[in-house]
Amino acid sequence: MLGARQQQANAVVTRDALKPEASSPLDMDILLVDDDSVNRKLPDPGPPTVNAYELMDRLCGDRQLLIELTEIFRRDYPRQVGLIRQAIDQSNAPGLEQASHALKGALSSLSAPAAREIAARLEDMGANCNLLEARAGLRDLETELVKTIAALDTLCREAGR
Amino acid sequence: MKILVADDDVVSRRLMERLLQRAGYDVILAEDGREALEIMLGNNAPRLALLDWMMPGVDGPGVCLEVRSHRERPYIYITLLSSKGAKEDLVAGLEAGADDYLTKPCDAEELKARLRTGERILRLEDKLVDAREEMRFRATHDPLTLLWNRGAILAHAKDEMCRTLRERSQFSLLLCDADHFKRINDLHGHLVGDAVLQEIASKLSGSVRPGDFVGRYGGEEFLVILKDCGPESLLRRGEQIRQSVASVNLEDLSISISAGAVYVDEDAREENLEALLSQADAALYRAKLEGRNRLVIAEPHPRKTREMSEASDSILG
Repeated sequence: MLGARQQQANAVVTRDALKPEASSPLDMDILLVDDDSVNRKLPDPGPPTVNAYELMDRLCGDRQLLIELTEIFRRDYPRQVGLIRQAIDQSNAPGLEQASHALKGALSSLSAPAAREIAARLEDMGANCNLLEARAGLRDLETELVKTIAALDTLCREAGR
Repeated sequence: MKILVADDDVVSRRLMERLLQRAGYDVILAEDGREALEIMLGNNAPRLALLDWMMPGVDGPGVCLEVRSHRERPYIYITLLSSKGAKEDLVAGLEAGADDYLTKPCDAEELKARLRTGERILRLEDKLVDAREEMRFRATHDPLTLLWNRGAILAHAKDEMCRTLRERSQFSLLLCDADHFKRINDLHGHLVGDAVLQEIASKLSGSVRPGDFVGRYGGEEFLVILKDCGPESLLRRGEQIRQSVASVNLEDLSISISAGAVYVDEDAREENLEALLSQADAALYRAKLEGRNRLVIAEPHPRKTREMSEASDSILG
């Protein structure tokens, strides 16, 4: 089990997304080429925890709204995870699909692709009535959700500067 | 403009609420499909709705189907929101009655542009409804007096007869005719004649109860339908109507009407409307003969007369 400090350090907020205005189109091209060359050499790091640029664009740069949504999510996601766990415990595939879908919606709105992907996997397991790997998926999801909250908190601070 | 946002996810709901408020919309929120339906089928329902596809209880397409089954209600422009992106989902959503479809999370500018399209369509729909209502009014109302026209007032009378038989209730018909109308037209011209008809129409409309009907039956003839008015109150109510017209003084002209009345109850089931109108007309004729500006009530219909006669015979032995 990771400590909260370590989890926060592991949380990824896409670097170029925080201050998009600082990058010219040319800079973006260079970054993309640079990223591709890294990807060829290193294993795929997977999707970012939070895509900050996309999220701030969606919120029209409204930091207050970001803080509010982060708080809403912090309060609400344990309930949604509880519903997912309950559905798995009861082998309730439609329940798993429904609960995972709702959480996936929130994660999509918050531009949190890593956790969203796991929620989508759980939703598919529910839709296909295949709950064999659901418990492992739930563990992954819980880990990623802690990172998501940490990344959102970081973004709230960064966006205020 | 009011807009409904229905989504079971609180983060998505709040995000959408804020985006739409910023765009000037008055946002109403629903947490699931059932609540959305209550709002959409309630009074003062919003004309724009954004529905999440997958919601507990009733899903987005289910809400669309239910709302569209209420054809008499004002049209609601519905956009379905979903993370589903497959073509078959899009087709299913539109087949259920949605007007548009957006994939979540949606771009704010695209959302606003699509809602503006929805508003344009709603404005067009409103214009069509207004035009239809105006045509309906013109088809059923007399242009001079704005009362029901002959066809419409006769249709109301037929409906009232059916209701009377079905509910064992009663109503009365009052056939009124403006007194000395030809002389008014000849002496003062048709414009004054028209003003007299308008004044009579206004007085007749003002002296009946809500639910009663007043129509222009012919040139200077008017037909009044008095709901739930039986023989015991017909004389009083008919006199009130006659007196309300007689109180008019238009450009020093004294205006009055003569009226023939007939009441209808379930015993009139063998009568048809034409026969009842004929009885009212005969009573009106008598009112004219007896000096005008008066009300004459027609004799009860023959079967009732026969029954009453038999009853009095049995009492008298």
